[in-house]
Amino acid sequence: MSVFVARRLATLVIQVFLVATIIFLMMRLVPGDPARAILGETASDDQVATMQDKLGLNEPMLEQYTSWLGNAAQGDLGKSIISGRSVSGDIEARIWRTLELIAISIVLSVLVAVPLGTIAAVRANRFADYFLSTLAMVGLSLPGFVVGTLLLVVFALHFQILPQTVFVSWADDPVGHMKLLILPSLTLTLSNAAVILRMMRSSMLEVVRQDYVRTARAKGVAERQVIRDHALRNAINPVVSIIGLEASTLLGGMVIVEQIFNWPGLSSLLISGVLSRDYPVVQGVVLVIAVLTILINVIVDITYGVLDPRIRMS
Amino acid sequence: MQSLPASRDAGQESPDSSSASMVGTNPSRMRSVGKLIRSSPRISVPIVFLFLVGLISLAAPILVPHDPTALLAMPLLGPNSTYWLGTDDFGRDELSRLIYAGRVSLGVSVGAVTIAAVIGVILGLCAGFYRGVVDFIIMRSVDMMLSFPTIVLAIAMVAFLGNSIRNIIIAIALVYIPRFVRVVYGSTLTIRNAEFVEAARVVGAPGFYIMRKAILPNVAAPIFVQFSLSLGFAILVESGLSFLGLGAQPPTPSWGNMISAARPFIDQPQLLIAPSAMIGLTILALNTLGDGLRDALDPRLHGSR
Repeated sequence: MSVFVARRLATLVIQVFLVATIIFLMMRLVPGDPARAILGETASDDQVATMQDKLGLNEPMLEQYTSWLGNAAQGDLGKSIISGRSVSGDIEARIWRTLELIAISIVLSVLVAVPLGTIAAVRANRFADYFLSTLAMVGLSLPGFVVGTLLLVVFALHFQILPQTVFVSWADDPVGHMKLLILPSLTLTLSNAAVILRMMRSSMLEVVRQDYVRTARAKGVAERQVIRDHALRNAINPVVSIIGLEASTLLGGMVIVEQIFNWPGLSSLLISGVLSRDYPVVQGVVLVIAVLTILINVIVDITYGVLDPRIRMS
Repeated sequence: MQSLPASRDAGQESPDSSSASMVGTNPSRMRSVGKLIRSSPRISVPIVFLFLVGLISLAAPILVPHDPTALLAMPLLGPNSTYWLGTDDFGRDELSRLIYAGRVSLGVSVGAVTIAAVIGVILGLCAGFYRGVVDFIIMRSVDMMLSFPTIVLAIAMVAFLGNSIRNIIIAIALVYIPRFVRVVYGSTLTIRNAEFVEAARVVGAPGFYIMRKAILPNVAAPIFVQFSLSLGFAILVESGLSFLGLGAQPPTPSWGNMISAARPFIDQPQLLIAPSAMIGLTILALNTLGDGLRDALDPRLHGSR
């Protein structure tokens, strides 16, 4: 097991290194001079030169690259060119609020989707299955910002049950904080749960066709027990791996959902960075989101290894 | 499913032509496509819907009752006989904007996914066919790209490239290339050692010819499925970017920025519901079509029906 974990962590380091490289290269996508792009056409040559200096664009390419990697490895993501604040500091202040949303949504969607997916599979091609599969398809097709906007308009603006105006932290007002969490986490959960439900259904359908399930039934084991004790354990494995793949969708959805509900997480930092062309901020936040995606995948892979000995052996 | 390369022909004007382009000049091919469409309501219904949406978007300049960007009347009028969906907060005709927005959303998505498909198919074929260094470089780059959440990558691209319709198309195309590479690569690997590919190699056919004539027709089915599903996601990304204010810029209407603009005006719910419904239904149609095509084209499922 420890060899499996070690091997997985080694690939993690390589992945993070490659992702950091891509993000470094992104700045080179900017047509023309990035310093001029930030300042606009009216900036004087002096201003542009200062900005180039700030962005470190005057150093040789290789030096820029190694210092970006070296600093990032030590947690230094540079300074915002607008506010002058440390990018890592700004990220640190917000990242926990984002992680809170992500964690709640993953847990909620598993809790909802695994039982419902199992029901859809057990009742395959009957009403419950058609109903749940249709629901999942609709959940999959409605973008987060549509669901989020509708929830916001109905519950926060029209009925004013869950107003989303001022952010309160968990420490200041736990109940108020929980109330604020409901709508954004529901929004994020919906599409995620839809994907997991579909996976659970098809995985369970695959498993109940296996010989050992027939054997269990032939022995006279109750159907409920066959599903719970024999089938579920095996059907859940591919579902665990889809949770890892969904992490990237979830973190992408998070960007939009946080904007809709004014949730002060990473998204507001990213979007304001994009709008003001604050490249260090954009690079920093994108790096952190990509690393989070990779980390969630590692955690999922290790869980997968724990659940299924065949994986950690190969 | 002996069809023309999906990548090149599929959906250049509208999503529905991805199926229409499968219709070659060959009558038997046309018949089998007709059979495929009729085989399941999960294929025929979305195709009819997408065909209508595509047609309406194409014919928008003739169809729209009013100029979508003109300030015509009082703001926030409810639905009435002149303005069927009422007017927005600037007094523009909501229905005309909805129809024009479809042009933007579908145009960007179809353009981006078509570019992604063409590049992705070529890269996937090369990686799977040549293996070795080519395979390593292409597939490792694909893995790296897939570490980024789609919309975050698109946002970052727009941030660095600058915000314009052309750059959004490039950003979405870049984001979707890896998916096509993966799909084509996998299928290519499974048939590269098939006897007819071997035979072509033995008679000395050039690599590019083998990929085009022997391999591509056999990996076309998953490309169609991926095309349909990617188109759904691309609409999601495009409208998401517009919603965040990073996509189509006002006054150009797009489904995403219409939803964003309608949020404060809950007294006129049609302003919110109409574009939401269009996005939802279009993506639903594309996803259902993708699922239906996958079931219909997957050879492993044929025996079981």
